[in-house]
Amino acid sequence: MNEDVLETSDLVLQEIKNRRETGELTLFFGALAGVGKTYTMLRNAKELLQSGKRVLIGYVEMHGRAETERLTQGIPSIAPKKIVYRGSTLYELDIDAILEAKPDVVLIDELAHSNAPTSRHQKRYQDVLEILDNGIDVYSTMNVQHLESLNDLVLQITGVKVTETVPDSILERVDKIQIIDIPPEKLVERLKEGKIYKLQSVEKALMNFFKLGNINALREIALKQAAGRVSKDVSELYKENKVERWEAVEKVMVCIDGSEFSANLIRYAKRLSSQMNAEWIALYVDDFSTNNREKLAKNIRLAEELGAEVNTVSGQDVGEEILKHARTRFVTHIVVAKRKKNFIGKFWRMDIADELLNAGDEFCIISYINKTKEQKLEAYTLDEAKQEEAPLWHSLFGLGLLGVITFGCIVFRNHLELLNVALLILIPVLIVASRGDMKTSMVITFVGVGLFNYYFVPPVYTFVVSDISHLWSFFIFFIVAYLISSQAKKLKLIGEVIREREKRVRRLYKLSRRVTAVSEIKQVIKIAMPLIAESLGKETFFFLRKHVDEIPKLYAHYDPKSPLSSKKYDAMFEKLEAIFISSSEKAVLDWCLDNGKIAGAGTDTFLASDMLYIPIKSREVVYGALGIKIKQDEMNTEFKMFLDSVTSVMAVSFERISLSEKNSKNAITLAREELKNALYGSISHDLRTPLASILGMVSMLKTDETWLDEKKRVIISQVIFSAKKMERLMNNLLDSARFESHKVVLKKDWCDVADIFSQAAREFEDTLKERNFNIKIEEESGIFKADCVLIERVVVNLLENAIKYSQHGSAITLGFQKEGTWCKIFVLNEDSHISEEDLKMVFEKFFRIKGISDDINGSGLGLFICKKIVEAHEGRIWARNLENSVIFEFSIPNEEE
Amino acid sequence: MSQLKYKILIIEDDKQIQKLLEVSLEEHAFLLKVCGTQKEGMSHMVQFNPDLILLDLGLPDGNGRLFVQKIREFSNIPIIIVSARNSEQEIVDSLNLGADDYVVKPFFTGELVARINSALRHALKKESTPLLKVGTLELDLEKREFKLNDDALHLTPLEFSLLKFFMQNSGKALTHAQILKNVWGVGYQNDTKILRVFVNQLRKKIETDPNRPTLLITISGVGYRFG
Repeated sequence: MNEDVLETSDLVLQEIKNRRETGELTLFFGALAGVGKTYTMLRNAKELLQSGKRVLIGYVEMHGRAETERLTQGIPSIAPKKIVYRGSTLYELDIDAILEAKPDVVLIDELAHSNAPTSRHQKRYQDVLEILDNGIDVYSTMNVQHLESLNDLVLQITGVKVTETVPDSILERVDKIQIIDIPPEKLVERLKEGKIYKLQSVEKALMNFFKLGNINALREIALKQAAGRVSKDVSELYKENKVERWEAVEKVMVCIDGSEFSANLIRYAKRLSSQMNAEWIALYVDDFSTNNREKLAKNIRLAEELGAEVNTVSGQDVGEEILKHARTRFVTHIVVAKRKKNFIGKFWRMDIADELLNAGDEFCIISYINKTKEQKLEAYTLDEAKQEEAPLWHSLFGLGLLGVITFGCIVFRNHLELLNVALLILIPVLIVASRGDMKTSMVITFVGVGLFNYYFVPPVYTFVVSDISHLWSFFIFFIVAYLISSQAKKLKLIGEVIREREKRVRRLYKLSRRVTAVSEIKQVIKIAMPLIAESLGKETFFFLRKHVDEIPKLYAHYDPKSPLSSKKYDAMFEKLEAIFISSSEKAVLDWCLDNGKIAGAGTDTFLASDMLYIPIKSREVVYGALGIKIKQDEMNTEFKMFLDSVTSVMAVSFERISLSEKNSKNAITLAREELKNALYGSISHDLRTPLASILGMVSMLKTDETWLDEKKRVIISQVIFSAKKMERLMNNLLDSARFESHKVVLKKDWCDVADIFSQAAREFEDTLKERNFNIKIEEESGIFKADCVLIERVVVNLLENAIKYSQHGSAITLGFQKEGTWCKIFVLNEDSHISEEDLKMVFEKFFRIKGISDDINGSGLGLFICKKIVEAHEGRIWARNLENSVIFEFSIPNEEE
Repeated sequence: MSQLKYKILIIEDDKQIQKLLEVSLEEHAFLLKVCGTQKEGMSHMVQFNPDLILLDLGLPDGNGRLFVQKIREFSNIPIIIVSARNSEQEIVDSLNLGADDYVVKPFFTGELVARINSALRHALKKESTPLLKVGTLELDLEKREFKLNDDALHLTPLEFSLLKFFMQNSGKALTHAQILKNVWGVGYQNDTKILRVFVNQLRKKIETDPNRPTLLITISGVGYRFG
């Protein structure tokens, strides 16, 4: 068997078992600090505590408020984790302790809080989400200004930039919202009394924040938010109850780019769409211009966090692409930025907002005027500076060609008109310009114009121009050179982008094609790892986890910079012991595997880690994780997209492989099972049939007494005895083999113990006459549920032993008792004894005790079979010595209907 | 008897067993026809017109159960299964399909002959009197009363129907399902608990030692045999 067999079905089962119901999030929501959110939360917690729920304080901010502190008394709490970071001591929520404690409800104050940099998650709300995922209910508090989509609105109202924000999706995730509100005057009063912050900490800025106007505005926003939330619940109720309500399906689309202003646009679109209760899309049109990639990624992330569906399309004509996308997605409202000032170089172009207004007459176009000075110009110049150094041969080639043409023209001067010469001189300019190299083409143009002027424009051999109209041609030279080179440059850029994309697609295609053909995990890694490592230029690790409970182990390592890994790919599975993974890295890895989420450097979780960990996960089963050594700032969208697609290809092939392995394993087991059954069947048939004829014929001889003398009678009796013994032995052998290799399948039915006993006694009718045999059923009804035939086997075997190991006239008793939920059957054998050592061994296979009469030579299988049968009934069997006797007992669960 | 020999069709593929059956049954004055496959068996059914069939379940041309089913489509002839496999399920299935009795290899010829006689008797009895007698137990179907050793037996209505069913089918192997269906009715086939209870009660009334029954005998994993 392959060592890489993943026990998928076990994994799946485990995962299903592990998938608990997620916890409930109750949010105490207010306009400002000091309205009494924490207070109300604690009061509610007290009530819960009294109703018998297990409530724990995860983290509660006291702010030195006496009332709050008093309330926390009596509620058990988890001590916050102490984190020392750059010399200062911070206290953070101890998430692991909470998960460990598994309370019913945990109280976590200040949802918007940002954690200390070395914590697991960047934000506290992420901690809360993880706790919820573990099936623990959470009570939390938050103020309205921390809501991401309201960020700029709050800034406008209060002039304070709130940095700690929570994505709107969290508010949507909230199961119960409780709004805490007090009149603004009272709030100011409370502040002055020092009930909100300790007096000394009431700073001026804070006082500014708590102005009556601000409070009212924030209060309005908070109430609106809560109302919006409630109306959403109502509409969901309508949906659930299938109440028909005519509603135009509205969809908002916001056009984004890599500018700072786009973030505002996104927030606005979010607000708009939530007011309209509409879906919303964020669209980025990649027009091949140099956008600020970093900012763009940030904007895309923001849009995603706020719940938008982010689409990217490519096209040069942004306006047209927007309209095209809007039409295919049935968008009703388009939100777009209108720039106040057009920047240089695009002055002839219409603003996108205007373009949309002209063309998209079926849409409601909302243009949001960008008052801030755009940094786009800056980006442009930056881009200009970044331009590659033109290779020298461009200029040399251009100059050479120019020289040759000029020389030719001088030679054939008499045959060429001035216009022809001008056009000929334009050729090198065109060639160089088509390279997209502005600087060189300008130089060539300048030299060309100079040569043209000097040699051909009258007066010849001077730079003087007599006819003013020739000056125009010089201008045309420059304009042509500029237009062509700028256009060519753009084309080149587009070409590069497309080439890059094509390369990526081809790589993925190659990967998926090659990976679908392989049938081993190892081969998948062998194909995928070098690809990932080489394309990223990073050291890459792969950690395999075959089973949920198993410790993940480093399975492969690939360093593109190391000469060892370059050609021989098998090297990546070797010498792994030498690689040291620190325990903190292991913790990140474990978290990544357990939660099936990306973690480590470049993410929001464990960002202090040295590596980025990506789980290879398909359908809730995590097969392992990819570790990539990168730095926090190296993570960008392209990087992430590439990894996403590669890991999903890997995950799918892992799943396929494990399923097919499971399948073939099953097929093998099935075939083996079938073979075994056939074998047992035929052996038992083939052995019994000749035995049947022997027994039958011999017994015929015995009945025909005419020719028998005493001697022959004895011989025939012995033949019959031996044949019968052989039959029993054969049955025992076959059965023990069957019970051992198969799971015993029980055919449970109602059994009558009296029946079983009488049947067993019938088997030994003759020998039992020589014993003092008794049946003792102490119960009213000896009916219980079991596999009657198998239980009879047990009784027969026990009785057989009792007969074998006893003497003439000694007592043998079969008994039955019900003891609580158990049915007990025993065989008591008087006048015998088994040594304590042997007692331990009697149920072992092939174990035999030397009996009283010398001819006891059983197979040593009888009791072994008994044990197997009783165990299949989830019961137990044992033997012990009583005074002067041995008792074999077994009990099985008494199943009542 | 010599004029009226019973004809037995033996369908069995093992040569030795064939020989054994031939020798032992001829000795008991039966007229025999031996064949090794179901196909031959079916043709002998018509030509030989037997009074009883001895059928091995493990035949080269398919499972004997199907043969039982086919026969039962047109004939009530007694069928005794000879099975080398001690698989209770197979026996139960064959009996439920209409086989009358069974013996498991290895068997003693005495046992087999007793089964054959019992099955033949049972087949004949169908048209006979309303007075049934098994051992010292008597059932008068007209008077609807049981007598044990000439003493009237007091039975509950269900016990009566149960014992009546046993008496009418004495000597036959009866599966749990058959008994439950005939006495309690369709829908009770799987309620073996109630059957166990009633058999237990009945034994206390008709057996001399209920712990060692001689009349109402259990066949492990299959059912009961009466008489």
